[in-house]
Order: sequence, then structure tokens, then C-alpha cells
Amino acid sequence: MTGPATPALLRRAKADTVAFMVTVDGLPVQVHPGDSVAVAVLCAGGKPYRRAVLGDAPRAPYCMMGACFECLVQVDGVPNRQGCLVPARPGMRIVRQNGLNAGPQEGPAE
Amino acid sequence: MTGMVDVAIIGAGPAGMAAAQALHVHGLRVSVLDERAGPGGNVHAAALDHPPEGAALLGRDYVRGAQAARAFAQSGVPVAYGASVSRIEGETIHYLQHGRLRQITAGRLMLATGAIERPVPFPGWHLPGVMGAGAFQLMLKQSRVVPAGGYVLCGTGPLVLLVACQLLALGSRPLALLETNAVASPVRVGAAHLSTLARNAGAVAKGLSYMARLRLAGVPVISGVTGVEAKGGETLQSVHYRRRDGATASLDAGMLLFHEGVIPGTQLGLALDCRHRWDSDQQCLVPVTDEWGESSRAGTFIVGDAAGILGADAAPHSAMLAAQRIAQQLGHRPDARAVAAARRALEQASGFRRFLDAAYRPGVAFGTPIADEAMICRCEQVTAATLRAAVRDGARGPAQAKAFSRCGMGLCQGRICGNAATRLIAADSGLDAAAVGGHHVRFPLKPLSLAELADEAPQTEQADG
Repeated sequence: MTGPATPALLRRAKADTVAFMVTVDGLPVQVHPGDSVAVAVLCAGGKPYRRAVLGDAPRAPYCMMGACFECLVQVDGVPNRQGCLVPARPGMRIVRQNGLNAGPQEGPAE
Repeated sequence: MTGMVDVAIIGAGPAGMAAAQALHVHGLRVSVLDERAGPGGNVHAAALDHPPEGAALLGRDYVRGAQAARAFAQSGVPVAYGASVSRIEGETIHYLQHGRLRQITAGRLMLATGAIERPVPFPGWHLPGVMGAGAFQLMLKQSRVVPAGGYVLCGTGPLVLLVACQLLALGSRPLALLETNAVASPVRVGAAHLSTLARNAGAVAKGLSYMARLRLAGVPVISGVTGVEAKGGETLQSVHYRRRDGATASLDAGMLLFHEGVIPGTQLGLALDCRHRWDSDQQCLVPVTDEWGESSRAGTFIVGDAAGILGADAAPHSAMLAAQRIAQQLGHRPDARAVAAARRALEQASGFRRFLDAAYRPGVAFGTPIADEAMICRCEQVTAATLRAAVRDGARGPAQAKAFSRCGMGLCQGRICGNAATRLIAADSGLDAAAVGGHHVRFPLKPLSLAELADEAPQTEQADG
């Protein structure tokens, strides 16, 4: 997908002194203790959080409590993890899921 | 975690933590499972992830909740975190943790699965940038994040006001608060609940202080909103709303945080075939329990907000009743004073909840028919118009409507569309919502890969929590 970059939905109001790095689609993103994988992706911005399997519609987390499945994301090679329930850990490789047509761009597809 | 316990508790929020500690005191073997990485539930999420002094930003209730979570963590009760219940057969609970299916066997089961924010479909609610205000609050608690651009809060109830104040405390100001309260004057409702308000003076003062802080910060409060629509492309661009007098207006915004209350999280109880009833006042399914919280499935108790919304402060009390009942059933002497105190506290909480329910009626969810173009089932992208066509074709319940339209057939298994589907089918068919009922929920509760299914750990090889 080309076009103007999607702005990040979130910004950090209060930077924690403790920080570590993960990658989102291969790019480094700084995260903090307490962050979920979903928050890491929402802070990264640049692209929609994910694209739905039906029609490639852009989607983002809705419920943040494990109910809506809008936050599905690939974590360390495992697809369809609920990003809102998975805590971000140092070195995690997070890859957006881009519908059926444009599959994950990094890591093993399962 | 040992493989066999007296009581398995699903959920380590305020109810689950209290029940576990009460049962632990009786010397009963307890195990707690929770999907999250730590205790506190949604209401006190990430309580242990931040230094205590940082919690003050989020308000006094969160500080107290964080203290409870800390005490629970130190109590020695065995807990499996990151553990998602997959299926329950008889006394065996199969749960997925760290990519592996594991089992635990328990003579008694306690569902302390809390609440979910009421999903309210409106046009454009599926756009990135639109989310629950409670959902946003979870991120705020976990990560101290605020919206990067302009945003609108919309809805009714104390939580919207609290989130607004928490955002202000973090230096972020909403463009506006759109109030969707179906009740024009909560003050007038209060007049009919004066004795209740007097008994809950602390909570009332809290609510008034939220309003005062919003005014002081100059947040425009637009009342009497009856309909809302989100528009955008790759992400939300504008919020359009209609007021009771028919006037319409819009605001450019990158996020819309919507909230019209919470409803019990019933997925597990429904999958276990526990009896549920339709609460016509709150327009949601509520499990049927006895005065101790035991459901129609003998040995399965439902406590806290999962049993009916009373709030986080009340949750430990219904949990205490269930814990004492289980202790008694297992031959222990129940703590009569704890039981009496819990009943008193629950009575007071129920009175206050009746006031809140009367004073903050969801104006969009209850007052306005779901717009045809609203995507009622987000997973399968089924609009309200398609569901209406299924009703016209003879669908008389969510199960039939699912077969006709795919509404509820997606990954969330009806968690998000179920409540709205029941309300729409009832409204369009003329049937009572109680007769329409909810989706049939089946195990596994969440999608499972074949590899995970094939690789279930035998019970003798249980890893520690």
C-alpha cells in the first residue's frame, strides 16, 4: 500500500525512565514497562495497525481487553496473537498483519 | 500450579483476588488463571508495572486497587498469568499459556471474568481511531499514553468523566465531551435517590469533582447527543453528531473515545450452559445465580461484575460470599461476620448502582435504532441492514441470524456484536429480547491452532505459573 503515512494514534505523555527496544515491521520502536504489543504498534504509526482479511480494510484495536480480536498481530513469528494481551518484551519482533493479499513482511509465515 | 485443586478461579481482578485470598485463608487449594500478565483485572490493569508514586496520576481508586494487587501478589496464592481458558469439560479446565495447552482439575469453579465495555455500533465505529473510552483508559493505565492528535470523548456515565480527568492530569485536553445521556437531568434523578446519595456521599463528591475539573479546564461539554457517526478513510477524520432537538454538527478529530457503560462478560458462563436472563433495564444478559453466586451449573460460581454490574468496589464482596459458601460446602466453618458484612456492602452498592443506572441511560445504545450502515459484526463486516434483512427473512435469534448473515461467525465469536444483535433482532421482530436470547457460545473460547491442540501437555507435566 502506498499513499500518505498514517500518523501514530498515540503519544507518550510521561516517559518512563526504563525503556527497551522492539521492532515493528523491522523498524526499531522504543517501549516501556507495562506496554502491550498493541501499544507498541499504535505508538509506531506510519501504517494502519492492521488490514482486515476481508477487503483489506484498515483496522485498529477497539476493546483492549481480549474480546474484539481487532489487535491481531504477528509476534516473534507466531501469527494472530492478541496484541492487547501480550506484554512487550525486549527484542520482540512484531509484524503487522496486512489482510490476505499483503501478508506479513518479516518472519516465517505459518 | 498443581494439577488438582479445590477451586479454580478465572480472573485475577478485584473479585478473583478477594475470593482466592478468602479461600486460601480457609486452607483450601486454590488456583487462579488470568489472561493478563499480572493481577488487578481491567480496572486496575498494570498495577504492578509502575512505581506506586506514579499511580497517583490515575486517581485514588487506582492507588487503592494497586495496593490490593500488591497484597494479592504477596499472598502466595498460585496464579497462572497469560493463561486463557480454552475449554472446560466436567472438572477439567484446559487453558492456553505461553503457546501450550495445559490442564487443571478443580472441584469448584469460580468465574470472576469481569465486564466488557458495552459495544455500541454506529456508522464508522470500525475505523482506526475509534475505540472504547474504557479501552483507551486501559492503555493509559498501562503505558501513560494520550491521543497524538485532536480527540473527542463521547458517551455517558462516570467512566467517561474519569477518563477525561485522567487525560487532563496527563496534560492532554479533549476537543469536546459529547454527552449521550438519555436522561436530560441526572440531578432530578438524584432527587428521587436522596437517601442513597447520602449513604454514598464519597462517590457523589467524586462525580461532582470530575465535572468541576472539566469545567475548570474549559472542556466544551455538549449534552443531549442522541446519534454519532465517525467518518474517515485510513483513519478517523471527523465525528458527526445529532442532538435531541435535531441539530447536527461535526468536529475534526483523529480519535473518538466512546463509552456507554459496561456489561457482564458472559462468554465462559454461556459456553458452560449456565442459565442467563435478559436484564431489560440494562439490556444485557446476566447470569442467574443464587444468593451465594452459585449458577445453575452446580459447583460453578459467578462473582463480581461478571454476575451483574456493581463495580470494582462491590466485586470483593460478592466474591467473599461465594468463597464462604464454597468453604461451607467443603466442610469448613464459614465466617459469619464476613458474610454479614459482605451482604451489607452489596446492598449499599446495589442502591447506588440503581441511581447510576437511572441517572446515566445510554442514549445512543438505548435511544436510537442502530443505523443501517453501521457494521454490527466487525469480524465478518456485516452491516445492520444485512442483519435486518435476515430478520425479515425469518431469523428470530442470533443463532439463526448468524446462519443467514454470518453476523457473529468471526473470531470474536459474538463477544462484540452479540448484545447489539439481540437488541436489533428484538426491535425489528417485535419479540421480547428475553425470547431472542444470545449467541450459542461453544468451546474453544478462542481460536486454537492444530499444533496447539495436538501438543496439549499431559496433566502430570504441569509447569509452574
